[in-house]
Amino acid sequence: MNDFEENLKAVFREVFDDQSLELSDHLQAQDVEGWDSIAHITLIMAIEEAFKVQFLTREVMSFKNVGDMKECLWRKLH
Amino acid sequence: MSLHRLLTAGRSIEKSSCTQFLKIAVISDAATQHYCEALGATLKLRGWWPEIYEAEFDTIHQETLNTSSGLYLHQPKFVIVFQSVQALAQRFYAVKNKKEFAEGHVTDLLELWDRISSNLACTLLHHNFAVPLDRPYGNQSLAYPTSFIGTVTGINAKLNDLVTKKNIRLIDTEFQASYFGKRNWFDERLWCQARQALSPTFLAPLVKSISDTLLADRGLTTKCVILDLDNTMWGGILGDDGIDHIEIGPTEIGLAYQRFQQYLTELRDRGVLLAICSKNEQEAVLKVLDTHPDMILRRNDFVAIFANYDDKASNIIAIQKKLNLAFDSFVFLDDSPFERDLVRKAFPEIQVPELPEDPGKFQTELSRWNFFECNSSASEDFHRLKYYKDDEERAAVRAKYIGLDDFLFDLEMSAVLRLFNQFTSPRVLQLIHRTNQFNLTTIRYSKSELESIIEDANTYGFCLSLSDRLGDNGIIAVIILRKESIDLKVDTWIMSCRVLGRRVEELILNIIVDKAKELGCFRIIGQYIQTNKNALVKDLYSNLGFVDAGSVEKTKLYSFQVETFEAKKIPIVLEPNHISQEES
Repeated sequence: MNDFEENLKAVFREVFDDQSLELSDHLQAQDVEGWDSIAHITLIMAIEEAFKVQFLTREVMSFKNVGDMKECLWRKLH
Repeated sequence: MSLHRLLTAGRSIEKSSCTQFLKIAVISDAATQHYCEALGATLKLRGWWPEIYEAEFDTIHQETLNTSSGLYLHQPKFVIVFQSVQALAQRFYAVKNKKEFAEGHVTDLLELWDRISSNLACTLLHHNFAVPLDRPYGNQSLAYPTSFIGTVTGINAKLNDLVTKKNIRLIDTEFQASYFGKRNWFDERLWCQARQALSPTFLAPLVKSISDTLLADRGLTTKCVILDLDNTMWGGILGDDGIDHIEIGPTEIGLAYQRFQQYLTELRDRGVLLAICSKNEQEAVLKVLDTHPDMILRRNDFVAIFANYDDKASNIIAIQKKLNLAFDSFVFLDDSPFERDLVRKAFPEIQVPELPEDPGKFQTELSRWNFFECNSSASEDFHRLKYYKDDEERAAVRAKYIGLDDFLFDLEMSAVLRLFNQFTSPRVLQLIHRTNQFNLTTIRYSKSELESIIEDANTYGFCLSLSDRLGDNGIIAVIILRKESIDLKVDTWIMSCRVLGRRVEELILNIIVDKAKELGCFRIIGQYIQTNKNALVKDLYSNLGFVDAGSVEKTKLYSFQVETFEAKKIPIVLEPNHISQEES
């Protein structure tokens, strides 16, 4: 699980241009500076590219926080 | 560049670093936040500060109908209309009468353009549609004007006609989508989630092409293509292979170069000037241009022909002076990574694309960069060639490129010297047999003669390989030295023309001097035997400080006193101890 978490964190840090950003399951858009709807798409695309997966529209719609994303991504990878 | 990196790079650029401004408005029926930010970033990276008014999502009509709208208050010089094919589909499926849909759309469009033009003194940019992949009638779908893709194709065709009449700049979305592949271009998940008309992955090249159109309108266009010859316009090295053996013609490699030349004729016809900058002999080049039966381009197609052995930067300065064009209106095409890098460093304004290794792919690669955007006054282009041909004299400008030495030091060249052995022999033989230009004596040793040179205690055969930060050039020089009592005679000195102008000659002189000292020789004897192909090195020994020592039959002799040698700083590091390592 460690590499997975590190890689995901790296994507977040790059997208939000913040090298001190830490991820927690409860983290959501309003907690992060610059996480607006446009950054959200960039984030989803960056995750898709980094992990070579594609999210379904239904999945993207259901993401409420980082925990949701992580769980969905983890399921796709296993 | 990925979209994310483009956006980040754009954010870091300060207004103060841009010298010019562009006032732009974007109206669209798709989401345009990424689009506008990416367009802004691209313009900033090109030195233009954008002031972009981004209308709210899907407000094309509101913005243009309301005379006090944000669009009109912004007073843009450019208005970009980006209608997405997805929004068009929504309207298409909502109407009953599909037959009249295309015509109705075009009528609306004409009204829209008129409305904007009557309220603003601006240039209009209009996106055509990326034709979707729906195929309700299979292969026959396009033939049905009532199918959606038939309708979209029909609208695109009408657009081509209208933009010329109405003086509107077309943004060829359909080309971009096709170039990158529509299966990837369209990401319909993102349309549903966030009204993205295309996968944001392709926004970077799309907005780059839009910036080309904007800047072409501001006068930034390519007016001249500077071309290398050997392995760019034909296959092979003219100086070595000769006019009969360069590859140009109707088959295989030759065909690839012919097709590339045909492509260049289209640029020529549209008024882009062609110039030659090649390390070759002028006379030999003119002979190919005038007499080679398979050449497509001829002497008169070029406004400037600079074929000589000066560095390319100096020749480009000469071309630039002759044509009196700004550096940013040139594109430079050369198969050699070394020359490309040199030109990029010397003239950052000149556009220097990478060329694929296979000449068959030149055109496809070039189309990607959109170098030849044309502006409204393109008709002037057509007369340009004639204008320059009238002014035919070859200005003898040879302003040496001052920074060349810095560039060479930047290259981080390092050389390795090896004695001939079974590993180096094949390449050494190849150089001995094929090199015509940089070949002082043109003695074509056979394989067995080469072996006896290796055996002979008084004869030293060396080869030199050169690498730099751009890559490894392999073995590029062959020297054969013979000790004759107090003299060290240079029997053979061959160099690949690829490394001309890199001061390898001076390094080789150092090597010869070191060997002379090691053997206790006081004098170095150089020889030059003239052939009809080696005029290039006629003055090599004089230039290196040798003195004329008469001639024996056809051989001109030169001598050099070892004690007079003064070492110079050379931009090439000779890797130490390599010979002894191999011998031990």
